[in-house]
Amino acid sequence: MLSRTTWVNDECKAIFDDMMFTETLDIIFQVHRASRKGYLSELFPEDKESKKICTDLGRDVFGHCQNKVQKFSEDIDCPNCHRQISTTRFAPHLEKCFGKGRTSSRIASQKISSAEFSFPSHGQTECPEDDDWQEKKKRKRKKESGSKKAKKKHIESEKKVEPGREHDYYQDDKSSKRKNLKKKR
Amino acid sequence: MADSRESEADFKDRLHAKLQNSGELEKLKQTLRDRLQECGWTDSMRKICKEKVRASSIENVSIDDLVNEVTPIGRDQVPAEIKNEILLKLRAFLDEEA
Repeated sequence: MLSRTTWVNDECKAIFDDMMFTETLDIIFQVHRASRKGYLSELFPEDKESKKICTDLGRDVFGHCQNKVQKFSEDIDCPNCHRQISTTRFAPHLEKCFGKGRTSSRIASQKISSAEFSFPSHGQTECPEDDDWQEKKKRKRKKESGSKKAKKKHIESEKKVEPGREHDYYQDDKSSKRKNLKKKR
Repeated sequence: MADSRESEADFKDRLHAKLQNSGELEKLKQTLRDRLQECGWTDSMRKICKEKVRASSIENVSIDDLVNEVTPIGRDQVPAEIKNEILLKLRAFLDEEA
């Protein structure tokens, strides 16, 4: 009979160990899954940490950064002027930087032409009229190279200046056609 | 009722089967779970596991590693009262059988 009681005791201990192991395993599975899925920090947070208020200078009470505008693009080093340029502005910047774009080439050619004319004149201008004509040309070019809006305004103002042309074929331009279509609908 | 020729293994199996079938095993499991939760053993174990995971430099800790490290700690940390309570209940139930 003594052996039986020892057997019983052994069996009790074994069963208890087994139960303890089950509980431990349960917790391990929970923590392991949380760590794999990435929410370990949220699992069983300590109360003290969640109640703390952030008092840093550049951050709000929750510790988030105040600056909400995030930079989604990296800056690129321009090989020409060695400045940091945003990726979205890089192509237009290169155009101007290298002098291959429309406006920059125009400006450059203007400079060249003005330089050519100014080179022969060392102090005295041979033909002052030529210089005046060159300046007028510059002004005209500058006007032409203005913004499209300015161009549009310029053209529209020209149209308005001629009152006698009310029933002219200018009336059949795209804008009036659109108006007619709208009316039909 | 006791058959002295019954081997140890058979006897133990019989005990275990009785526990299982009567539902006593489940009851005791639940009791243990409740006691451990009340005394804070589960929370403490979770913290320890969390720290083990964070402390290890490996990106993904394996369950085996956690088991090997944490099980002995868990076994030691169980309060004696809970252990005794469960063992007593087990013994009381199984002594009837013996």
